[in-house]
Parts: sequence; structure tokens; C-alpha cells
Amino acid sequence: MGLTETEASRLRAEDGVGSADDEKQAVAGGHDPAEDRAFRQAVRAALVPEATPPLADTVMARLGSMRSDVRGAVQEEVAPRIADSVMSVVMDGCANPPRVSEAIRAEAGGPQSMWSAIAPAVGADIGQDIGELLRGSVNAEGNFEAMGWMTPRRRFAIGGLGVAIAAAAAVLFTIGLGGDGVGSAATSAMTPILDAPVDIEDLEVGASSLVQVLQFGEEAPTIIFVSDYAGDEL
Amino acid sequence: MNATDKLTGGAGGPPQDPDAAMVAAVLAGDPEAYRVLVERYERRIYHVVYGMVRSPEDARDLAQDAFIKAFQNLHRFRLESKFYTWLCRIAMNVAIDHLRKQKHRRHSEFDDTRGGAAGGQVVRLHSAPDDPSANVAQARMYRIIMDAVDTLPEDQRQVLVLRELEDMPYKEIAEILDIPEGTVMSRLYYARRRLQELLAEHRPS
Repeated sequence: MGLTETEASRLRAEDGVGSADDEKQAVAGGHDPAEDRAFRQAVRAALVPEATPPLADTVMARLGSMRSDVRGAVQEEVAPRIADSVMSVVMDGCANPPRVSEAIRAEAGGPQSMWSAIAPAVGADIGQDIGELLRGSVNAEGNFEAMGWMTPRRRFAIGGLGVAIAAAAAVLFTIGLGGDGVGSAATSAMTPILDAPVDIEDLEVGASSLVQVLQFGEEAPTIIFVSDYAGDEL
Repeated sequence: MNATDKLTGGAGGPPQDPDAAMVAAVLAGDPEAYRVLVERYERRIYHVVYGMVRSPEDARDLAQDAFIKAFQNLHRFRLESKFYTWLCRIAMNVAIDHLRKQKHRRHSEFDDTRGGAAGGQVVRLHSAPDDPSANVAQARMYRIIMDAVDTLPEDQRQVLVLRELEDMPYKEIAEILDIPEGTVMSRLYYARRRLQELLAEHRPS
């Protein structure tokens, strides 16, 4: 809502910024500029607070703490990782740091044998030699001779899967229980039967052990047969 | 000429504006320079905010908030405007935000101890200032006025506060509130007329 000329003149007059014409026009409109100014002074006096608290110290303190927050955030970015510090202390002077896996095994001990539970399921006696059982099963299913596991694995893979997996599970647990295979790697005795690549980093067995590695596909588990044998057994 | 040069009046030249020099110092990495600006304007900003919120405690906190916000946004300060104008706009926005959040704002407590500095015209409205009853009457009048101010619409109160407390020209008020100068005049005019109507029955005969 705009002002009329008289209203604008009255406003300027009471604000003390009007011209003589504004004063005249306000008076002509029935207003008393002096009384308006007195009223304005009263309003002004009422609006002014009694005291003004100092703000600078508080403001600067607040700004200072905010800057500290920023500094803290930045320092957090570049702070060394606690884990690194701890490990550097733990490993200090330790030429051959302990391997965690070895420590865990030592702490936990060997696993319990599950063969007693598995043997009846695969039609074996608990006291039966596992390696012999597995070889027999694989050879029977694969229909190949003792050295046949050096032949193409297709025949073996077709029918022997179920038995082989069950038996292999038992063998792997047996490996865990054995723990006496400390000989050098019998790489020359390892004969892979593979449908997919297998990456074996390390495998230690006795010098007279026979190792058989089965891999039926990329998604299938790797099965490793290990058994001791007398050289004339196969 | 870069931003700092504009603030300081150019490389090697004297600062054009003491506020601008301080702003330039802050932007150049000297936050302590901001203290000069706070001390320079703390009283005026507090008055403006107090005029809006009518609570000393709230006014103190909000005035601080205004200075903090100004600091945080100092890099956005438009070089062509006065620092105080810019700061005052921030303070007014802070106060308005506060009022809008405070839906049922309490009336400010009346302070019996206030008085004096009312000016000759106000004294003319009442009895002699040495008369204790005059102080009581004056305090009562202040209370009535402020109650009346509280009834004003927000936009009218903004203009009234800036004009009466800061004695700001219409043009500067328009700049702070980002409204036309004519709007400033009309809001101020109607605010005063409304106050006069509300106070008419209390005015001394």
C-alpha cells in the first residue's frame, strides 16, 4: 500500500528529513509534526535496551573453538593408524614374527576325528585304511588301473563323484589329524586329475606318500588324497 | 585488482574503508581482525536484535549467532555494499528466524530499573524526571509502547526498529531488507500510525 503525498510528507517531517513544503503539507493535512516527533522519541527510548552485553570475547571464543574443530578434523585425517602403532610396538625386535595361523592351531589343538561318523555312511569299517578305501572306490568307479589316475580323468569324473567327495572329506580330516608328514615336498609323486585349474601353494607329506588331487570344476571343492604306500603297492 | 585489493583500496594504497580493511585481513588469514569488527558493531547489532526479539538473553545469543554467521560467510560479502549493512541484514534474518520458531513468544519482562536517556520530548510527555512517580509513569509508558510494538506485523517492526534504533535512512533500510524504498516508507508510516492508535488512550492529557 503506497502513501499519499500528504502521508509521505508527514513521514518525512516526523523523521526530520522533510523539506519546508513537507512540514506545510503535514500541517495542512491536520497533523502536528512536532507531536509526531515527540511520539517517535518515546518509541525510540522504549526500544533501546538498558544495557549492551559485550559480545566480542564470546564470539571470538566460539570462532576459536570452531577453528579447533577444524584443526581436529584435519589432524584426524593425517593421524597414524592406531593399529600400525600397536603393531610396530608388538613386532619391535621380532625378526621372525609369529604366524597367526600357527598360533591359532597351537592354541586350538587338532580337530576331532569325524571318520567314525563318516565310515558307516560310505560303507567302510572304522578301522579300515582310508587311503586304501579311497583308491578302491575311485578305481572301481573310474574303472582304471592302479596307475590309471595318471590317465585322462574323464572316466573317473563321470561316476566317481559321490564317493570321491565323501571319501575325500574323510581324507582331509585325516590329514589334519596326522601331522607327521614333515618330509620335503613329494612333487614328483603328485598326479593331478583336474577338470579345472588348481593352485596349491604348499603341501607337505611324507616321503612315501601318494597324493591325488581332484578338481571337478571351477566351482567344485578341491579334493586331495594323501596316503602312505609302499612302492610296490600300486 | 583482486578481491583483497578491492577491499583495501588497491595494492599499496590506503584502505578505502576501515571495515573493508578488517574484512580483507580476516580473509587474508587473520581471524583476530574480526574482533575489531565485532567490537565496532556489537552494540548496534545487539540493539537491532533486541528491538526485534525483546529478550536480553535471546538478543545476546542471537547477536552472537549473527556475528558467527557473518564470519562464516565473509567470503560471500559483496564488496560494493557496506559491511555493517550486510551484517545488519544477517542479524535481522537471524532475529526473524528466531521469532518464527518461537510461535508463542512470551512478552518481555518489564525492567523497573530502566529509565533516563529518553530525550527532552519524552520528558515533556511526563512529569519532572526527578519525581519518582515520573519514573514509574515513564516505565509504564515504555511497557505500553513495547507491548504495542509487539503487536506490529513482523515487516513493520523490522522497519521501525532499523529506523528508530539505528536512525537509518530509508534507502539503507531498503537495502538491508531488500525491498523498495517506497515500501520502507509505507511500512514505517503505518507502523507509527498503528502505534499511535494503540497508545492514544495512554497518552497524557
